[in-house]
Amino acid sequence: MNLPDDMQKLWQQEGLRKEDHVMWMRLIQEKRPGWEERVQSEAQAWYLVALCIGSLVVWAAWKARYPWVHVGYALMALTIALITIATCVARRRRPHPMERSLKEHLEALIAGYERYIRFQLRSGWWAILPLSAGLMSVIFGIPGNAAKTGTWILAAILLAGILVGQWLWSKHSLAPILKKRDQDARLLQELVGHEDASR
Amino acid sequence: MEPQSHWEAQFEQLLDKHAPALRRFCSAYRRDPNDRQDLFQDIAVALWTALPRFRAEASERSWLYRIAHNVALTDAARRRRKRSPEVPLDEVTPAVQSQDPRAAELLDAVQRLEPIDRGLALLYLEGLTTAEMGGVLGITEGNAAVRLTRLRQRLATMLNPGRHGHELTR
Repeated sequence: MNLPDDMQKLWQQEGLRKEDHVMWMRLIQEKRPGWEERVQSEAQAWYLVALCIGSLVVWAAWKARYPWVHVGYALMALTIALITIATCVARRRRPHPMERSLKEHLEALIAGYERYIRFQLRSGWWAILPLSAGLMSVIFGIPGNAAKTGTWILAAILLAGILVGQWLWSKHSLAPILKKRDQDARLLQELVGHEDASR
Repeated sequence: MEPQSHWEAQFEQLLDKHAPALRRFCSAYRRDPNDRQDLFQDIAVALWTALPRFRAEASERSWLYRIAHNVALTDAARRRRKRSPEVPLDEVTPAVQSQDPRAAELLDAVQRLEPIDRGLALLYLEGLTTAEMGGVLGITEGNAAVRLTRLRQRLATMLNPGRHGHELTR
């Protein structure tokens, strides 16, 4: 194997066989919905949580007797609905076209991951404000609660719980996206780094 | 809007022409036969999806390798494997069986390269020009040529460890 051309000849002699077209069309028809399902399944955890908490909030609003408690529950239900819609819209973005160059493809992927990370962080922390306000309205909307020390302690614990919950949620949901972004960034660096070095 | 049968005919033609090269491509990126099958299918699905956007005046080979590299190196191929039990996958994508021990050595050497170098090596081994390589990877033709020179020396050294690479690649 003395010449590069020998390598090419050697390489290209491998893998000759006839393709089964019918089988390929079947496979493609079966595989495409599978891909779309997987894209959607990433957000399914939130849809499930939203459904459970949302149903509980609506049920509690129905049973509530005081106006500020109604307002609180309504605010919480509205926030959950808005987060669900925003998640759905963010997740429904069409995948990037695959026929661009590797460099363009990597840049587009990284930009997409960055956008999604920013969306997750901002939407999560902004959603806490109306959720917390709704919760406080529910707690202190019951006459006499504001005067009790125990209620204030409970409110502080619940607020801390929401903050910790949001921190854990964003950490959990962003971990796979951050990993993908880092992998693609390394690959892009490998591609572009050599270009810089050869100049 | 073209009918479905038109795209199916185009796709079949594309597979007939390029499937052997794509199988070699997948062999270089995945050692495990199941992963190799998955990658080949992912590329085929991506080709099918992109086919309506393909323009006849563009190079079919470059277009195909851009898609194959983007699938092999990025997100689409990293996702969890999920198979459909109805399709006998082994019939669709049998592994490339090497008859020549030197071909197996070459495949092993290519597999040991870093992902970007591996991509470049595959394009070179399939006979693409440096301009086409640059177009597929998104780098300049000059950069592709420089990298290719180093890569050929490296491959020759890997295949003939007892001798110097520059003697072998001229």
